[in-house]
Amino acid sequence: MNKRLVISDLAMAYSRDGKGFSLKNINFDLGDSEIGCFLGPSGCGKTSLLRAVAGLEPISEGSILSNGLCISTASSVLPASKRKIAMVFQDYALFPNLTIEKNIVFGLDKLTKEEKFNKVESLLSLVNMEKYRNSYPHELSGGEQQRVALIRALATSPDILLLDEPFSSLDVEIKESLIKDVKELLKNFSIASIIVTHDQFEAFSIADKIAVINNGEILQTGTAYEIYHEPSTKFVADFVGLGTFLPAKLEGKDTLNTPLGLIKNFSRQNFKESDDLEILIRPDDIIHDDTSKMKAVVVDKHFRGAEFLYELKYKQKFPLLCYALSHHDHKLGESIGIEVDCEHCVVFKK
Amino acid sequence: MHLNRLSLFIIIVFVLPIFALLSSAFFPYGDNLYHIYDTVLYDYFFNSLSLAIGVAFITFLLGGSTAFLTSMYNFPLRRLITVMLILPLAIPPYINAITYSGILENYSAIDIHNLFGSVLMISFVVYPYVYLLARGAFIEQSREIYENSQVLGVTNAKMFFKVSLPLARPAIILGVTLSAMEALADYGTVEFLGVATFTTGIFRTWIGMGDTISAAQMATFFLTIVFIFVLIEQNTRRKIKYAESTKHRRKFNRISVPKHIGFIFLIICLIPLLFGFLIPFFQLLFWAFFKSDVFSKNELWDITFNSLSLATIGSVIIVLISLLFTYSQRLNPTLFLNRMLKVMTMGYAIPGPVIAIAVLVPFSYLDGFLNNISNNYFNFDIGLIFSGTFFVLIFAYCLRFSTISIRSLTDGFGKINYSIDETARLMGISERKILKSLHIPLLGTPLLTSFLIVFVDIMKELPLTSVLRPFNFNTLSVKAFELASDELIIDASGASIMIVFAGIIPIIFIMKNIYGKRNLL
Repeated sequence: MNKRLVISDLAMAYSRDGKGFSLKNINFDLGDSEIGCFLGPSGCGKTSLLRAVAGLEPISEGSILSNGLCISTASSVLPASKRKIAMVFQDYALFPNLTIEKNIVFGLDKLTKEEKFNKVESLLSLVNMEKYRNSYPHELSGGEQQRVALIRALATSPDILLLDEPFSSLDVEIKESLIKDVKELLKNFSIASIIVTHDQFEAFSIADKIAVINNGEILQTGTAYEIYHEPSTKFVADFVGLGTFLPAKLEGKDTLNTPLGLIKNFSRQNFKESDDLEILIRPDDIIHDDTSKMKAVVVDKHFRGAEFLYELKYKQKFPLLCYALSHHDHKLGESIGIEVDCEHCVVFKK
Repeated sequence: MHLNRLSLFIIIVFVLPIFALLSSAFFPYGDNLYHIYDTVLYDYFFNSLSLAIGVAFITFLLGGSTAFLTSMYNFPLRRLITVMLILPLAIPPYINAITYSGILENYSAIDIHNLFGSVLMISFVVYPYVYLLARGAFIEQSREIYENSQVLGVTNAKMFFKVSLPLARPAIILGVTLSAMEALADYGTVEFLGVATFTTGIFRTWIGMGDTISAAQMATFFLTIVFIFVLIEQNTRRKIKYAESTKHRRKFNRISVPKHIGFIFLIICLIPLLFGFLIPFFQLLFWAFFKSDVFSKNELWDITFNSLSLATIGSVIIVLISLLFTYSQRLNPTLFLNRMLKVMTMGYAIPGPVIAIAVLVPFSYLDGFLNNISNNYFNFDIGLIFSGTFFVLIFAYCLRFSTISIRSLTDGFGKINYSIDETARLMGISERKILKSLHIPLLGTPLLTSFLIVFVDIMKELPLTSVLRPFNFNTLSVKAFELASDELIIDASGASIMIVFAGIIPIIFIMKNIYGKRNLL
């Protein structure tokens, strides 16, 4: 299959002597018009990886291929200016001394005047910003600046578009609608893109393929659904989504003994009966039911509008999380009924 | 890469004379050094140091008090006074001394031809350094601090001594140190008022006695004293960087005081303005327009033209080389270039006479060397190429005045995010277009500010210009000083007022920048 971007066995060094690695064993690929995402806590190396793809940082091992052409190895780096890769920076990097129009055509020296005019017109209309053609960046709001940065990056018709924390400096209210717009735009252009973020909800709502990075390594690559429901390591389980870990033991071939009771038809075979195991319980695995005989004590609660997120203690020592519709307003210390509905059984060795 | 090498080469050429001067410490002592040591060296040392300390003290009083009052309290004419308090910067200390000496000619009771007079003459025109920096610091903290003090029920006086002053201390120390350095480097004032300091002593030994080695050795010794002040200055600068808050500043409601107290505050703020600007300025105007016919003579206009062209050429060259240095440091930052830039930016601290001797000695040697070669091998006398030409004069200006432009361009580049460069590079834009279409427009203010400041510095400059200028080439500063030294103070007023006019222009520009942008009024 034709891949737009292939990163294989990449490593990046901290320092020029090549001793400490900020990233290692990185493998990642991206098909045409696929939206990829590097998700991880700050300082994990995700932005360095993005900058390596852009050609702004050297790599010390492995290779990066774009459209089958090798653009980075340890010994040779195709200059950033020749890669046909565009990038939207966290601060948008709009040229403050140029109008929006001049910002967009800055990299389009080869076009005629008329072509430039039309290009700007069509790009601005894509994001409903035709009237800002002659405005300066500082006259725009954060969201508008971001859209300009995006269409400016798309103007050069790059093969790959990189976005570094594109939504991090925006207000929560406009973030959601903007993420939707950006996703639509990227799909319209059918451009391969990578988004770097520390925010899992951004990653979930925009990316086709997410790589979770921690301490310079990719821990898991997959769709949002896979990463949430089938995390491959405890870090991924913990970092992505909410949940608590309870002790568990394997009994027989396919039964798991947990404080919440026995879970049958457990299919993972690679554990032994003697192993100390932990099972991940997501809030959506616990269902609140006032009539249930199984009770847990409310330790803390967080009002989320339509629902409460309850922090519970089961049998006085096992922490659980549970969503309940917000008319179920229980007091702290109250015992409430719960039921277990564990569809995805995620278990790790302790 | 090429740019870096070019920058390094140019910087090293500039810095070499300073190192050459310092190496004179290892030569055998000059003929007159023992004699100087026995007779006047102690005076030079005592006077230079007393001058620096005296100026530090007086500028602290003048600048500190005016900064505090204008930033904390409301009183009549406060806005106008706030702006006008920096005007004394337009008057060079020696012009101030010349003017007051003329005013006081007939009052024998007040004699300024002594150390104390020099301290006052310099302090009244350099206190704005302290004023500007201290004001910035007071304004920076004022709002939160004073609202807190009200909430906590602490008295204003206690708040001032326990919190405000300690917080503003680095800024005040920096301003005071800069003023002291200005005093150390002063040549015109002390020469005119007859106070023997290192700067005048170096000239006396070098040009009067013709003893270059002794003069160079004195200069080296003097530099070590100057260097102590440089260390204090750079150290406090670092502290200020950490103390600066980046928070958005809201407007501060100044404390209102009863009418009679407001009147006292007004008087306190008027004192430095009156003595540092209004009196000398209007006196010079009066002399120039009503007491002399300087404006009707062609000579003044010729000299003004000389000064303007010299200052224009000099400041353009200085801003261009500063741009070259800072731009290559941005493209490809290296530690060595950075270190050399640091050495280069010490130029402002080196007094004019020291730079003069550091520059002229090697270039005269080089001239002699070239002439020997051409005489011996080609039987041809090529004359002086470097010494006594504009080359060596501009070279010396670069060494002395590039500090301000290198610093402000470095700051200016620092404010342009690297993501701007990287975005442009990813678009496939050439370095040249990035510099032309993005960096230079974005550096507009620092480029213009440094051009203006360097321009005026060159207009005002006295010792370097008078020693290094080509034969028969007169400038306003040299002419004013010559006439005044011949006791023709009223005739000197024409050239003097021209220098002051030139000095006012960048001050207005800087005022707009400082007060206009940052809600400081």
